[in-house]
Parts: sequence; structure tokens; C-alpha cells
Amino acid sequence: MIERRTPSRMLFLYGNYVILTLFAITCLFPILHMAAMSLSSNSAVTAGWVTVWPVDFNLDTYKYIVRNQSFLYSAVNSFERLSLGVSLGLALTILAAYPLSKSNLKFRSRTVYSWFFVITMIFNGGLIPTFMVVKETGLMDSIGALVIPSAVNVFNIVLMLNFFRSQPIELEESAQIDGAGAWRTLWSIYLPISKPSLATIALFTIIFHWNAWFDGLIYMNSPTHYPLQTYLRTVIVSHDLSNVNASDFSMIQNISSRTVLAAQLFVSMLPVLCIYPFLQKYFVHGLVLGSVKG
Amino acid sequence: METTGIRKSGRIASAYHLMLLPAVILVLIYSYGPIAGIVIAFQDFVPSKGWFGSDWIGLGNFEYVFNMPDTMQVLKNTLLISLMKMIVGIIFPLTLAILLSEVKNALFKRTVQTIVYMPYFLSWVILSGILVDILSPTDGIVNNALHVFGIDSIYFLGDGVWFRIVLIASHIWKELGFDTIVYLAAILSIDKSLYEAASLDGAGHMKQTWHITLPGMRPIVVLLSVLSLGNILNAGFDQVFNLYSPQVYDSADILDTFVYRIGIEQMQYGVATAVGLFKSVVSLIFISGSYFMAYRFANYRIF
Amino acid sequence: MKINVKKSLGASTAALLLLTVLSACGDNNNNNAASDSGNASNRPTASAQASGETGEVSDAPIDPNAKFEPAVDATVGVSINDAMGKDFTEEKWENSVWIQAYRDQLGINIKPSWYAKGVDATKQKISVSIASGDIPDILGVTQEQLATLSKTDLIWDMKDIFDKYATPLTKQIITEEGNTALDSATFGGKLLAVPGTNSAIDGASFLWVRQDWLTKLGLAVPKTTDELYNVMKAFADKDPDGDGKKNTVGLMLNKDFLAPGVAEAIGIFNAFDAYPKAWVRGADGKLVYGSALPEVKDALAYLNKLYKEGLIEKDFAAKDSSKAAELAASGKVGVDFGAMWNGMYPLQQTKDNFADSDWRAYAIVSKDDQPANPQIKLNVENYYVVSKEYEHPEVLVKLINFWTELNYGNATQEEFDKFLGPAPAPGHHWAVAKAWKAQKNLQAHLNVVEAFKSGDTSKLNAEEKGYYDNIVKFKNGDNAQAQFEKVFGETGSFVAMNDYVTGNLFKMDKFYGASTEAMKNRLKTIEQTVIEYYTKVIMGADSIDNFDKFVDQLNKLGLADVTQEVNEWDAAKK
Repeated sequence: MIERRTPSRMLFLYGNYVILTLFAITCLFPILHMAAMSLSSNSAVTAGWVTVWPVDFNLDTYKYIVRNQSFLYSAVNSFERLSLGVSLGLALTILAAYPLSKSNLKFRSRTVYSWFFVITMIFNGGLIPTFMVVKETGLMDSIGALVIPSAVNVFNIVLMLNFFRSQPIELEESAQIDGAGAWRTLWSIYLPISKPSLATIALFTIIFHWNAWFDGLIYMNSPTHYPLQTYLRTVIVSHDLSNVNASDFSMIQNISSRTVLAAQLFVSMLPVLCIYPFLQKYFVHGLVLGSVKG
Repeated sequence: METTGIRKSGRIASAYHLMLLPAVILVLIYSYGPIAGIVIAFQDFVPSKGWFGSDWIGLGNFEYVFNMPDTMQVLKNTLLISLMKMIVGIIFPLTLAILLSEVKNALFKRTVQTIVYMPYFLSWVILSGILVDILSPTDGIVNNALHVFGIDSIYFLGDGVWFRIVLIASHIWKELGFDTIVYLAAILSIDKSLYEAASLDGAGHMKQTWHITLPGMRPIVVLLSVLSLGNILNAGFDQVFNLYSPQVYDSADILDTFVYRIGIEQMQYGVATAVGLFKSVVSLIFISGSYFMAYRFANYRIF
Repeated sequence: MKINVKKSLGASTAALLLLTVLSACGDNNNNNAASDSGNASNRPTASAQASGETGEVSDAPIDPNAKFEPAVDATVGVSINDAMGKDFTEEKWENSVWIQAYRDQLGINIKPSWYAKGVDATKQKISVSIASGDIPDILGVTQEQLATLSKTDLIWDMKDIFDKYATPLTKQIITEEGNTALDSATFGGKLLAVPGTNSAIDGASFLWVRQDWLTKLGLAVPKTTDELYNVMKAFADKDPDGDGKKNTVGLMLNKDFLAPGVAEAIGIFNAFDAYPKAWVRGADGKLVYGSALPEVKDALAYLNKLYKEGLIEKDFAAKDSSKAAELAASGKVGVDFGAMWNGMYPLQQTKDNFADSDWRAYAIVSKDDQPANPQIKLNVENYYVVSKEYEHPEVLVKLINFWTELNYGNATQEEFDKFLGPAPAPGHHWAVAKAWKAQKNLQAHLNVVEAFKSGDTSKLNAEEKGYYDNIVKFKNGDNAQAQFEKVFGETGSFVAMNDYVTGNLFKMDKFYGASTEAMKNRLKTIEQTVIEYYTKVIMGADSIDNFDKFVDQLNKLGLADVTQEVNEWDAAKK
């Protein structure tokens, strides 16, 4: 079909480019602003000269944060959490989603299991009871507290089982005719074709673990065990100096300057910003397929 | 022959049970375990006495909550904030999806998409750090820009009205790109021949959008709106918690932050659990309702 | 939020300096008490006590400072605050001189059961600890947390233990401002915590005036509200800064003028015998809420007059204290009501910009010839509780004894500096339990002034010597050190503070218990309504004729309930 290029159409097309560019800039600007601040001098930032380009370019803040033990510890914790959390999450999701994707005829207990999982999407015991369970199961102050209670994600299971179900039934039947058991069918027939869905779920799980901060605060008994976002939270929150009697001078000097905070924020975004563009085609595909938002 | 079939399907079924076992065990411990703790919603919970040792007070905690002057305000805030988020959360992504679908330059389209997806992947901890900085009334870049136009500083995060606006705007900013994904797919799935026919009839692009694209997307829009109703009481704990401060409690306190403050800061554990349970029950009603409607009208099923 | 940080930063910068460096004042009025108590820090060996004693009353004399043989363990929760440094590490905490001394001198092995970074995280940690019924052996909690704990049987009644093990010095410090601190930790006759006291008097309001402007305009220091009015009028109209423009105002005021600190109006309310936000005893012996008493009407009318005549900034209601304080920095204001540390922040900024400026602190003015009563409230930094499961509740008391002895007892300067001197000494944040003397800063002022009189600095401790040296620098022309003179020097705010103390002028908030149920839910709304109405009256948008209506509204908002609960608390206390 040939586009008719009427003047109003042209106007719209150019206007469209402008609007979309503005949208994109709005999304990009705050992040560039942070990056620029982290590379500028404190005085330039305070004077309000920094927008998206560093003023008085210097790397002092980065030199500071690579020497900042708390920041480094928490980054290591976050990566540890990520690797454990993602592998555990993926394994559990696949194993739970596969049987649930079978029809009621093939797997009669399916409905019971489904309800068993779905109920947990609506009801939860809340903070205090969850805390007690985590404590009683001996996970306090360990990486387990961050990855085990949250390991089963019902949303991801639903996403995955919808994918499995969308596959032609012949796949399974032919495998069974070849004498393959359930485990073999899953492993050698289904998994190899699940890459887009797995990538989507992996991405969601990565995002979840990288961005989680609350559990770190509650379950860790020591800031050296905080994951990155928990550490950032303690740096960002307002410093309550209302009870001035109990504080002293060094407190003021120790409050992070804006540039240091900007650098820490920027560094913390980097891993995620580096991953998602490469998984874009998968999660777009996976999402549309699941039609369920993570 | 028959028996081997049964034996075989029995073997497969037990394999299925086995596959589900790890997830079931974890859910049993870490989801159902705490759910048992809901009993303290009906108790005058005293920590040293445990979940089942405290005095039972029936619905006392619920009565207390509904007699608290803050409760209604909190409910109102929650509904207002989440409804606003819901509405702008449909309009903006829908518009963006239509605009994007009009772009013919593949590189530009992909670049814009990648950029607008980005905020979705950042945590509210990070975003709040950014927002607090750029919205600072003393030296944030937004207020600096306002000064250029001769406008006085606005304390965005300290003023009740502005705070809500910031909540909704930053929410849509974060989710916008990501929410377009499904809409874009819906646009792509509209039958191309419809456009061609319309074009032959002399319909312009505006008309085509109005008469073909929008109606073609109606099912998915309706479905997503209906499903989002189930989240009506989730106004965004992470976002509000990381951005708010006592001076905006009146307009920004939502159910989840309220529960947190009653539970953790005021240590009224029974009351906090009661509010949480109330929220779960109301959510259950909304979720069942919305899924039922989605099933009836769009034949949508989660499983 | 950023602005809050900024706001309080400035305000605290100064206060901090004053309030936290410690004194080992060797020659103050605690000497007698102190010498009785023995010297914990210099006593490595002590009579071994039967270990396992848990506070049951025995007739045998007890040495409160005896070392545990064999040593006992005690778990604690550690809150890491910003002052403890960016390079805080757990190893550093566990090897600090405090922990070593507890171990070597007292036979107490401190074991952290958790660390939490920041106010938020600490609150969460303590809350979930209490919820799960598992608290560390020794823990510092807030008044609210103590109230929750009082409903459980998780903690010791410390009454007998405190009586038995606290040294006279410790007892004297904790009861320095009467029994209020102990009462505030007492629930149903049980002393559930040892209060870590802090200074109440340091929160009192003062009248700060530009003395150089008074002199220039030939005015005397105002003693009454009328005289003060004339002074402010002159400051606004007679061009005290001499730039030929009418650009000065009389009074520096911020929108939250009922919060103590900088640019407040509490001093003016007190001048009219009104005590907003404080609970005072009415004629019938019942406690009543100061914000709703008719006395505030006079103060509001006074402020309204100031506002109408342009003696207060037109847009004061839009300025927080740090914004309001910019007036001082730019030399456009001559009167400020604020705490004793205002001489450091924000008024030092005036000195930085205008070398000839001279802020002085005086006692707040009064509506008549009787001196006014500045309002103050109980100030407890931490309530220290001991887990019931812990066998040695006296450990807590011994830790506090150790602190008081070191700070206010007979410890040598060398010993003191090891813990509380300049770096590398860790400072007070690293101590496990502490209780401050109410009048430490006042004492520092008296000693510094004495040293200037006698020329003998040998009696000053490290902190006081620091003040002394800075004041000398100021006198030799270093204006950056003016702040020390303005607070601790012979013309400092503590001169007026000393008058407050010797004249016994303070009006103590009569309620010092934990928040009651209605308070938790309603007080915030009530306070907000109060400040809104007051602001409107001052700006002329509402009238004092509506005061009774306003009080009705407060009562409907829950003040009636709160008042009832406060009086129940008051009755139960007797």
C-alpha cells in the first residue's frame, strides 16, 4: 500500500517523531542527570550548573565508592543473591509449571495444586508472621532468607505454564511414543524450545532480586549482609537529626554528598541497564504470550 | 495393553507430583505458615505468649481500626491513588502504543522502545533517590528550571497535593513503556486488510485509528482494565514508602504503609494483621469479580 | 527528604558541638557522690562476688562495681548512626576500647546479636525482635517501644536491681531533674527500664537580640513584651543596618513556630504564661493541654499586631526554619527566639557576613515584672531494658555506672580521653549504655567563665579547654569563633541559662509518659489544627474571638479523649 502524503499526514508524522523523542528524553534525562552529577564536582552540583553533562569532570566519587566497604560488600551480596535466586527460581518455576500445564485428564490433581498456589497470590500472613517463620526455619542473617521464602513465584509459574500449554500436543505424544518419561520429555523436548519464556522469567527474577530491599532490612542482622538496594535505602532515607542532643559534628560530615549518592545510584542501575536491552525481544515475546504482567 | 497404559500414566502422574514437590513444600512453609499467623488478627496479641496463647478478642481489632479517624482517610487515599494510576495507566500507554505503531523507521522505533522500557527495571529505592534529588525545593534541577521562568520553588514531596501528583506521574513514567508492549502486540494483530479497505474508501489515518485501531484494541483494553481492578487496594507500597514523610501522611498514607506503621512503628501487631486481612478479603472479592468478568466477557483464564 | 536534612543539619551543626563532646568535670558538685562510688575504671580486681546473683535481696553489702568472675556474656542490639562513621566495621565495634574495658574491667563480654544501620532499620529490627519475643539481653528502646514491652513479660523489673547496684553518682545523674525520668520508665509500679537521661534544660527558649542595633538606636535590653515590641518596631522602622532602605524586620519566625529550635515563638507564648504543646496543671489539679488554654490568646494577639505592622515577614508561614534563618545571615533581622545553641547556628552566619554584628542571648521577656517561665520537657535518650531470660540484669546497671564514673566521676583525664577524647578515641556513640547529666553544658560555661576570671585553665577538661581556646581566638580577632563566646563565654547564652536555673524558672511539661492510645491516633491531627488556627490568627485570616470554637473543635478531634487519658496516667502515677 502506498502512503498518501497529505500535508496534515506529514505534520502528524513529524509531530509524532518529536513527541516520541520527548518521551524518550523524559525517560533518559533523570538517569543522565544522575550520571552527570556523579562525574561533577560537588560545588558545581550545589550551584545547579549540572544538567546532563558533567561540570568540572572528575572521578573522585567513584574513587570514593570503590573504597567504600559497605557499598562493595552489599554489591557482592547482591550478586550472590542474584545467582542463587535466579537459578533456584527458574528451576522451581519450570518444575511446577510443567505438570500444571497438563490437562485435567492427564493430571487429575492439577486443579487442587492450582488452587493451592493461587490462594497464596491473594492471602499472605503479613510481615510479622513471615518474619517469625523465617526465623524459626533458621534462615535469619543468611542469604537463604533472601532467596528461599520468595523462591516460588506464582506469576512466573502461570507465565511458564501458559507457554508450555501453547505448544502443540503432538510434541508430548511423540515423545511418549518414543518411550520418554515425564522428566525426559520436559528436559529434552520442552526446555530447548522454551528459551524466550525462560529468558523472560529469568529477567523478571533478576529484576526482582536486584531491586528487593525490604527483606534485607528485616532479615539481616548486620549491614555487611545487606544487599545493594537495602544499603542504598539506608543511605537515601532522610537523616533524622531532630534529637540534636544525641548527635555530633562528624555526623554532618558523614552524610553523603549528592555526588556520592548519585554515583552509588548510577552504579546500582548499571547491571540492570546492561542486561535488559539484550533480553528485550524475549520479554516482549514472552509477555505477549503470557498476557500477564509480572 | 490397557494395564501398561494405566501403569504408565500412573508413573507419569507420580513424576508430576514429584516435580511439584519442592515448590509445594516451600509454599507450604513460607506462604501457608505465615497465613496461619493471621489468627493474631483476632487476638490481643502479646509477643511473649505466641500465636495461639494470646487472648482472643473476636473482631475487637477490626472495630478498633474502623473507629480510628485515620482509617477512612487511608482508604480514600488508597482508592484515589490506585484509581488515578489505573486510568492514566491505560490512557498513556495506549496513546504511546498508537504513536509507536505509526513509526516506519525501524531503528528509531526500536531505540525509543528500548529507552522507554528502561525506568520499569529500576527499583523504587533508586527512583526515590533520583526523585528526592531532582525535586528538592532548595537545589533540585526541576525547581532550578522553574526559577528560570520566575516560578517559586515547589516542595513537591512535602505538599499533599503535589505529592499525589508526583506519585501518579512517577508511576506512569516508570510503567509507561512496559505497558505498551501488550498494546503494541494487539495493534499488530489487527487484520491489515481492514486498513486497506478503509484506505480504498478514502478514510484518512485519523479515521482509521478511530474506527479500526481503537475498536480492534477494545478487547485487550477491557481485559486489562478489568484485571487491574483486582489490584485496586495496591496503591504501591514500595513507591509511597520510599518517597513519603510525615508531613504528607494525610494525603499519601495508603493501606500498605498504614499496616507497616501500625505494625512496625506502633507495634500493634494484632491491629496491623487485622488491616492486612481486611485488605486480603476485599482484594479477594475484587479479584474473583474481575476474573469472573474477564472469563465471561473475554473468555480469559489464568490457567 | 532533602530539605529536612538541610534544615536540621544547620540547626544541629551547632547544637551538636555543644552537646556531645563530653566533660570529665573533676570539680563540680558531684564530687562527693562520685568519691563514694569507687573507681570502676581503675579497678581491675575487685572482690569476687558470688556469680549468678540475680537481684534477690540479700543483706550482704554489695560492691556495685565488682568485676564478674568468671566473666559473663551479654548480647546487645547495635544501632549504627551516621556519627559512627562511613568506615564503620563490626570488627572495629567489637574491638573498641569500650568493649575491651567492659570485658577487662567489669568482666562483661558484650556480644552483638544484631547491627542495624540508621534510625529506620533500628526501629524495624527492634519491632520485629519484640514481636517474635526474642530480644537481646540488653537493649536501648524508645518510650513507645517500652510501652509495648510493658504489656509483655519479656523484660526485668529493674527496681531492686537499680537500687542495689546503681552507684550514688549514677542515681544522682538519673534523678538530677527529679524522679520524672524514673517515673517515665515505671509501669504499674515496676521499673521496666533504666532511663538514659539527657538534658531537658538545653531545649529552653532564649531571646536573641542584635546588641549592636540596640546600641545604635539607643535602646535598652527589653525585659517585657511591651519593651520588646518597641525594640522590634525600631528595628523595622529606623533602618538599623544603615543602608537607607526600609528592608529590615523585627522578628525572625518560621512556619513551625511551636517547635523548639530556631525562629520559634515559644518564648513569646511563655512570656504570656502560655505553654503550647505542653501539659500543665490547671487550677483544679487536672492536667490540661497548653495549646487550648485562654492564655495563648494574648500571645496570638501580640503576634498578630507584629504581623500587621510588618515586624514579621509577610510570608513567614511559607518558610521552614532554615529559610527563615536566612534573614539572620543577610543581616535583616534583629530578634530571634531560639535555643541556647542559636549563637552557633544560625547566628554565626550573621557574624560571618557582618563583622560588627553582635547577637546576644537574654532571658525571654515577660508580660509583666515577674520573670517568665521557659517551658521544657523530659528528655530521655534511650530506655535500657533487660531481657527476662538474661540471668544478670545487674550487668546493665554496671555498664551505666562505668559510664557515669568515666564521665562525671574521678576518672583521670587520660582515662577519659581514651574513650571520649578526640580521635582515635571512639566517642560516646560506641558505648553500650549511657546517661547524661542535665547540666553538663551549663557547668562547662561556668568553668570557662571561672577560668577567664582566674586565668587558671588547669581545672578545665578537654572539652571545656576547647571552648576556652576558641573564645581566646575570638577575642584575638577570629570572628569565626564568635559562636563559642555567644554560647559559653561571659556574654553567652548560658549566662541567661544560669539565671533560669538559679531562679528555678523552668516550666516542666507535666506529661512524660509513653504516648497514650488516643495520643498516638489523634495528637498529630490536633497539633496540625492548632498550628493552622494560630497561623491564621497571626496573619489576620481568623480571629481570637473564635478561640472557644477552636477549642471545641480540638476536643471533637480527640483532645477530650487525650486529656482524659493523660489524667488517668497522672492519677495512676500517684
